[in-house]
Amino acid sequence: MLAPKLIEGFVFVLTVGSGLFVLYLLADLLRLRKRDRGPAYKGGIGQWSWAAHRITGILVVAFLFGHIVDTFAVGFGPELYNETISLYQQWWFKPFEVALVAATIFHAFNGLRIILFDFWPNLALKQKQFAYAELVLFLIAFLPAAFFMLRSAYEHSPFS
Amino acid sequence: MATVLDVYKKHKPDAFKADRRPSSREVWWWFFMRLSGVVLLFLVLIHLYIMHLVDAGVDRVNFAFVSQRWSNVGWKTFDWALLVLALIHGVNGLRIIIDDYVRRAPVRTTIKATLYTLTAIAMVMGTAVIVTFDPAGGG
Ligand code: HEM
Repeated sequence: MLAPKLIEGFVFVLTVGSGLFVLYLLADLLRLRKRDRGPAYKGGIGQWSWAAHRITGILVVAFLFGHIVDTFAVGFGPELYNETISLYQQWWFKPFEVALVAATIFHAFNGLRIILFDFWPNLALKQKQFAYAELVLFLIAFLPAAFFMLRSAYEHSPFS
Repeated sequence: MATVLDVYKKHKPDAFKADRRPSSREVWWWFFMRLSGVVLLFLVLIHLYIMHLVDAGVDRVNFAFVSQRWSNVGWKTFDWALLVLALIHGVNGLRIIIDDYVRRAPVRTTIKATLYTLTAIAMVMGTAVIVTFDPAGGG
């Protein structure tokens, strides 16, 4: 069938497109740093958190557009839907799924950190400690999830 | 030592030409990003947990699984709230990013117009498929 392939192609184009934009964003940051021959990008972990928040936000919303289109297929019956989302069930897709989960969890935790600072500005005095604490929380939430997701993919891959 | 602000003022002077006092509309968007963020925190983490982690994760998701889930109006509402909040939150975020990077007004307007059109289409598609879902299948 053609339709599922088109939808999968759409998801693919969105992912690659947002990936390219992310590269542009990083190049923009690094170029600024280089031209100034010094630590122009000197905000430390707070500034990298900002970049990561932006990048993860773009990745997740790009996927959301694709995800709305693939879910739309469920209105056309089992045959079309099951074939469309079979993309996500390939063992080699798992790393992308894990990356998406990582992006979402990071964005969620970091967003919470931003919100806390906005409503209780005094907390921002300790922004570095908050950023490191957030990274620890992120790892606690993400690593076990990644382990279980990748384990099942490994069992289905040709390597096991 | 120059601050980040100094460096940006020197190399990206255009970004500082505009009046930086936010309009009240912008303040409401600022507030919406926080409000939707807090709600999304719960919706998104529950969504990830159910769809990607427990049982066989996405490997078990298929038409029958969706039919089962959407036989419950609670999950329909949950998924619709997630759709609406994530889409508006995400697209508003993209708008802010476009304002940051696209300096030429005609290009900016074109990109935004395209984005908003696609957003409207996505909102209608996502809403329609939840509201009109028929487990008997085949539209
Ligand atoms: C899970 C809970 C989430 C929380 C707590 C959260 C929080 C936030 C906050 C507070 C901002 C504003 C940042 C600022 O003004 O500097 C923001 C920006 C953004 N969010 Fe989220 N968000 C969440 C989920 C999502 C989702 C699901 C998407 C994608 C559909 C998304 C996409 C974006 C984008 C694209 C931005 C703009 C980034 C920027 O301006 O640099 N967020 N988020």
